[in-house]
Amino acid sequence: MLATMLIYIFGALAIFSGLMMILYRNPIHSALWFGLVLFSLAGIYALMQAHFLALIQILVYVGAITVLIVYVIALLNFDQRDLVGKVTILKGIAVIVAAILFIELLFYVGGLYVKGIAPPPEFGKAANIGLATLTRYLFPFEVISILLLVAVVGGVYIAKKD
Amino acid sequence: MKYNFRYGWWEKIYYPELIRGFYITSRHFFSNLWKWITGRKGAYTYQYPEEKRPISPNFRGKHYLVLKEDGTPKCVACYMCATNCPAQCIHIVAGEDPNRPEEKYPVEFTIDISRCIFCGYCVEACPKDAIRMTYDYHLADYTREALLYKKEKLLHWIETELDKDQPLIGR
Amino acid sequence: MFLIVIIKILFVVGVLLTFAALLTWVERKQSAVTQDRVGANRVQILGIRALGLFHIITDALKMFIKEDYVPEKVNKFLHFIAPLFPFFSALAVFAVIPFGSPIKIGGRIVELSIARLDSGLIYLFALSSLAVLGPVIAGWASHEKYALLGGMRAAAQMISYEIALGVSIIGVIMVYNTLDISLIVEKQGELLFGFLPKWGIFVQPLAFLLFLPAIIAENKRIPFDLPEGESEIVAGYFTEYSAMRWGMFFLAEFVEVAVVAAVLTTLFFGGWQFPYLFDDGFHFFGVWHLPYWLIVIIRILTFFAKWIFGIWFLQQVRWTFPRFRYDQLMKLGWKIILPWGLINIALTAIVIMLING
Repeated sequence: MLATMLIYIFGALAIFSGLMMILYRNPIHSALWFGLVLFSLAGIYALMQAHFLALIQILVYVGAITVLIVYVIALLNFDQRDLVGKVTILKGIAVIVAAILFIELLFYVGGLYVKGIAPPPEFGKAANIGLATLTRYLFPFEVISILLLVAVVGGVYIAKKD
Repeated sequence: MKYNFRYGWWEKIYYPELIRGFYITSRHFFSNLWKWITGRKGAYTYQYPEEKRPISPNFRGKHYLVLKEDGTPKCVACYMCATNCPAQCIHIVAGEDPNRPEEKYPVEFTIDISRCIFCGYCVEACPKDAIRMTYDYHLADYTREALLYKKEKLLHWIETELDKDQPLIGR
Repeated sequence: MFLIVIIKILFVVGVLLTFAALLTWVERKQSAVTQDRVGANRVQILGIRALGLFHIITDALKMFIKEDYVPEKVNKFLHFIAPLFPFFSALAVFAVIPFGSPIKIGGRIVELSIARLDSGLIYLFALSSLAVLGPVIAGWASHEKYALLGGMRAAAQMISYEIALGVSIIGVIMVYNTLDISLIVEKQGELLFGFLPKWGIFVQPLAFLLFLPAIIAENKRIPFDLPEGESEIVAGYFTEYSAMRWGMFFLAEFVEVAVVAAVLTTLFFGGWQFPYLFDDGFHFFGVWHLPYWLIVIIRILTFFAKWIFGIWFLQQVRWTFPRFRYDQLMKLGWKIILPWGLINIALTAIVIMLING
């Protein structure tokens, strides 16, 4: 009962802060609302018994990524008036893609909701996640690490340029 | 200045030197703590209003004028101290005493203690041993006027104001 | 059950806040004794000075009645919430730390930690990573260059050292084969070679040497207090704070000291484990049986003794070492602790493989 209520609260919080994130004009506020989105997602994960995932979500996304976003915004120190852009074709395409993604997700998640799937036993345990990443999902895992390595090398290259 | 010190491997592995530094501070901590626990003082601090530094026997502090047995100042207003004073902070007005026409006496004797540099030349110069110095260094006051020490104060402050925690010897 | 949790929360928060308040006194007095001084002792009530303990009260009083000055151009809301992040994250971290062995009350086993989580160690790092938001938001919201610099330094330092922290602790996770902090402590009660307690510091000495600087840096204490850096950037991220809002940062720092000491105790010094003390008594040249309640009390006292020693140790470190330069700090985090942490993981893996065959 309490868990169901909390899931609705966290869900509402996630949607609300997501909206606030894109509606706020001040980039720092957007970044902090983004942090709140991630935090409420972590809450939902925790309620779905995926404690490890929830904590990693907080550790990596709220504790590090949000802080890095705030860091970058503070370093760039741009004028807020520059952020109000004109309507361009690219933005139009972005809106269309986002809408399609949203409808897709709505159908998919709605379908799951109708079917009513239960998480498998031992769901979300740290050991299971570790086992899955190192056996079944080893290839995607390695690909992602290569991607991150490329990003790091690129960052170093850009930083060394001057 | 060229900094010539080069780190060897011992300093570069860092922890031994950190432990050495930590040993020094904790040695201080524990030896002082032990002193405090056993009722001794584990610090070099003098907690001033309650606890005063021991003063050297030839400390040169506030002046006072010496009295004769009959209660009059020994001073004969010879101006030796005022002439000698490098800070020119002694002001004397000499007068004649009709009872003792052989000697002058100071009608006014003022030391501007805010200008005094406590060199002690006035004490050295005095032929009559009429001015001496004490170990008292509590000179602060609220007005400039209070720092002009008049004759009466110089003659009598020592009886009431001086802390008697050290004997006045050889001054 | 609910009541027990409430009692435990009240106990832990009470102890932490008491420790934080006492630490303001300890900070002064310990530095004074180390540096051959007397230390703050002027506050007196009816002529009683009590070694300066009343300074805690006057400090609190001062912080409450001081003018809470908020500069004109600050972002009011962010300026207000920023001090709450480090304070509450530091308090919340303590939830997973066991301060005694589980006790049996009326057939029910009560864990002496607020929560026993399957991945308690991750919880610890996750919650302590939330503390970074405080300095960063404070630095940005203050609308002032020194505060911003302090916030930037805090963000860079704490994110760098989170990685160092995480990598250095993996060896410990591998040895005890769990993320559950309560289980880690329970496993530290075993004996190594039959005589040495299986504490973290004995099985993972390298991890301890890497973890210690990393967690002090995460705590932003001297010698890693560059975000404050009063000789360079006034007071860093809390330059524009005054009165109780500054007091929150101040108190958070001391709560963090207490929490860091507890974490060190739990992970590397055996938590509540008293050497050679098992559930049925001492195992030291024969078995010395002890009543169960006595063992529980000994274990709680052991935890507190180790905890207080840890706090003393951290405070002594704070009064011993000078501040690092910024490049030295980054070099230490990325070029020394991180590679050695990776080496430690490899070594631990090899040793575990050899032992398990």
